[in-house]
Amino acid sequence: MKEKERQALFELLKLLEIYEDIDILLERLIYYVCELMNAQGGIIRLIKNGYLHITATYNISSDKTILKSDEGICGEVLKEGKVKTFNKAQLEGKQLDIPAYSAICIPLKIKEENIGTIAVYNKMQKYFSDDTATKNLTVSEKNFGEFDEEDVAIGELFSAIASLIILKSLKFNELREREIHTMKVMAQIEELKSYLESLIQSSADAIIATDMDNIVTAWNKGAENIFGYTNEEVIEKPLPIIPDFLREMEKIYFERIKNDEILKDIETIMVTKEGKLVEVSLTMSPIKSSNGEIIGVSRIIRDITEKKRLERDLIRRNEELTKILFISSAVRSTLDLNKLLRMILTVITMGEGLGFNRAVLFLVDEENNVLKGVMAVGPSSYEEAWQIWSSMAREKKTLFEVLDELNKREFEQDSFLERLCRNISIPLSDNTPIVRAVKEGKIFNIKDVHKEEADPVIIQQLGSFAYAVIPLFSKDKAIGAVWVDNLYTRKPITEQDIHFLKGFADQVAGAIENAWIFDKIEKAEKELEMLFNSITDLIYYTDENYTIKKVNHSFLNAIGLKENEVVGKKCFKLIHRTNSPLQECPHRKAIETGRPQVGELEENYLEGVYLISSSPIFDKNNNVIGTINVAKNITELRNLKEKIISMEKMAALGEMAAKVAHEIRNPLLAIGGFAKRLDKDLKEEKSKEYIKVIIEEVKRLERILNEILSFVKPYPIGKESFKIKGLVDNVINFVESTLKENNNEFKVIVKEDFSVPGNYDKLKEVLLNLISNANEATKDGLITLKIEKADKLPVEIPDIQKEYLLIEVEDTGCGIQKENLKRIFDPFFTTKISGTGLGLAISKRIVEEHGGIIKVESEINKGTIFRVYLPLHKEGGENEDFGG
Amino acid sequence: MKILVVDDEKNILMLYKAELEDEGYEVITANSGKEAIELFETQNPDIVTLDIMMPDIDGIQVLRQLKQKNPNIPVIMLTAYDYRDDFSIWASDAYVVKSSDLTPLKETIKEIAEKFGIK
Repeated sequence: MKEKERQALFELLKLLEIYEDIDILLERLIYYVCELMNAQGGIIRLIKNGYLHITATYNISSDKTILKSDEGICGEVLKEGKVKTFNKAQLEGKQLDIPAYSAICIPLKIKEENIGTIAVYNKMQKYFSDDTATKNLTVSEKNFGEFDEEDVAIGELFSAIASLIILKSLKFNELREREIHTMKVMAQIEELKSYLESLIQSSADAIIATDMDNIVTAWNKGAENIFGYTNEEVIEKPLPIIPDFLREMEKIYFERIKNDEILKDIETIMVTKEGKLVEVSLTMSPIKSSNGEIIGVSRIIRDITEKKRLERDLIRRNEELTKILFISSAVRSTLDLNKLLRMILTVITMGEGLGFNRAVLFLVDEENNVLKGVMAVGPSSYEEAWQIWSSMAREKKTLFEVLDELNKREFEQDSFLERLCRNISIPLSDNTPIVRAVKEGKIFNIKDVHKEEADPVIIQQLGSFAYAVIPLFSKDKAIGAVWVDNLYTRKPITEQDIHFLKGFADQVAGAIENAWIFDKIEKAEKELEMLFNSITDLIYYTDENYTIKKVNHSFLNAIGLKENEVVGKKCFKLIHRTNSPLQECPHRKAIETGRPQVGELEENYLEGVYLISSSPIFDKNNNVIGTINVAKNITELRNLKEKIISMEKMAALGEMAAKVAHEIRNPLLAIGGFAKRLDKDLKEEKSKEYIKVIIEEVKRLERILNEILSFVKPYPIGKESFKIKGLVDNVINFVESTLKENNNEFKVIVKEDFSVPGNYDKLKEVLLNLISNANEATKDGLITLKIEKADKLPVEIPDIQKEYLLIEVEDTGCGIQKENLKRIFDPFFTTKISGTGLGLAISKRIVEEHGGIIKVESEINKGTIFRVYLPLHKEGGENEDFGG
Repeated sequence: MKILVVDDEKNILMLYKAELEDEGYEVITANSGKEAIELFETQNPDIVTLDIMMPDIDGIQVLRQLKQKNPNIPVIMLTAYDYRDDFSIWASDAYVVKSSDLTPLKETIKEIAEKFGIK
């Protein structure tokens, strides 16, 4: 072996000492190779994933850190598997990866596997020969030589040994890294184990392991706390906590564990050392050996007695509240909506109830499309809150007692919080939590207003740090929301609180809806009552025995009594003042026939004619249980109707009379005329007497004819007025002698003189007519003519603004039969043996044409009074037209 | 003085003729409106008494025709009843309600005759 090779070998062996660090090893290696070969520099490339990566360099650098393993000189040597030199001749036309004068490349191989290359560049010249070949070289070229056979031999040596060294170093490195990793894992496992152990030990849950025969293999502190057994008492002993009545169940669980099942959160019951039953939540899972065989069972047991108790407590409280609410809704007829809502909010904020600090009720105002604060319950300050709580603690009142109290007292509506909340109005077009709660029906529990999206208005107005909003729904319609917070206690609002409040909210919504409906009904009732009372017709309900149940204001006004004087009385006694219902009363007919009846009735005590419509009310079995009666005063209407009928009668009569008059007048004229002529010619007494009869009778007929004709013919009323006293004096002269015939006394009372507008002759006719009628009806009696200003006007006169003159003619005669009383003004109606039956008809007509009315009142054998009401001129009103 | 008496009833014409002739007037009679107009043209009466209700041409129309022929002829209307306010007879010079007592008619004729200066 040559000196150089020996040296190389020595160096390589030395390298074995530092194989632990592959980077240093490779750097040394390339250094020694370059030194030994007297080369400028070199690069070690190792194959990773099929590419050559530069892993160490000496005195040279290349930007080609990665090469393909079949490219360039490296690729060439790897392919051929032996060391090759690339001197000037060989480099001709070849592309070196690094520009160099000469190079030698050593493949690194183990068995048949290529692991990399060592490329050494630019042999250094140690001496200069006289070689002609070098004489023409440049200075730099002269510095570099070519690699020779010796170098190749060193290369071969390196190739084999370096490969081994590198590989070994690499392997060692790998091994060491794995060991470090394993140690780390071990440490982690150790940590985890102790963590788990402490977890198991410190867990409040019982964690128990048993083998397949149910013998306890592990028992933690939690288990000891729950079941009372110490570790020593149970280890290696059968599991003592399964109650006898659940053994069968336990077997079933065991079977499932054997099938590699995990049983989660089973709620069951276990027994403690003292024999107490505890409610637990149990999770069972199989314990497996390293080869996967199930060798035991682990149990994690949580004591849920407290939770169960709380749950039951909640349910109980909920039930109680429901009951209370039910009671309050049952008495809601006495509760207005306001009161009910306030009670609800109180329930929410009472310690015994939901125990929130503050509650605000928001309702949807559809009209303005906003969510409006309606009502609030809660203290306005810490001091107030403290006072309330301390007094509550002192008095120890139950919720029920408080509610009962609330129901009795009037709420103070003006708390600070209340005023605050009433000013809150949030547009429904917003998208803040409270609006979303209403619109989306979602519950919001905002635990920190600064970290979550919240309602700026609420933070600002109510100063809340955390709050919850529960939507109120009634029949799928959002009607509002309940807002709660714990401003003073800062107690976080839990899911359970929310859950409870939600269940409660549904009831609240229902109650509100009910109250609304009730409110509406009440309003409708009031409206109906108003309507009922504002109807001017008389309305009254009765039962089937004519007992009045309800009447409207018009009824009371007409009858002049108060409601309590009417209700409960018999209607016929009140209205007709009879002891039984009138035969012709529609009310009686309705009750007797069970059908609605309509009819007119003259009510003496109510003054006037009424149109009564009476409808029976039936019960479910179709029995009449009462009537509803509507009575309309149609006096005026009837009067008008009668007037029209009378006018129609007159018109027909007039037409006929005109015809008759014409037909009769001419023959009468001829008869009378010729009779008179005969009278002149006749001398014989008897004939003369006869002809006189003819003449007189014709005269009488003509007089009747004139009366009829003057009745049907209209006449003008003078527009001038005259003094009534003058007329009276004239009339007195006219009738005095006639009155004496029946030995009647005549009394004239004229209280003051009036200026009467109208036709003197016609009004004289009226007076004469009335006085001669009175005279004919009276013998040895008194006839009184009275003239005065009318201070009480009959209902028929519509214009009460005008002043009227009253002319009264009273006699003490035989009177007029009641059935005749209405007909006496009809034309041709007469009770007298002699008479046209036109006197009163004409008088009536004359009076009416003067804008007045004539009335009669009569009692058989006592006498009759005719009253004529005539409108008077007011001062300066003499130009008014009183035409007929 | 010649008086034309117009009436559709012959008995009445007979009566009026007798009574008025007794008063010393010359009396001609017409039994219808048509005849009245013919006689008025041929006989030239001084005064006309006219019944209103007549079957062919009623008195009002006859009155109009007579007044058209001679506006100055005095016409006394004889009516079955009070026609005072019926303006259709305002064109006549007087009216008398028919009656078996002929005194009002005779007086009216005298008044008219004096007023119109008829002898």
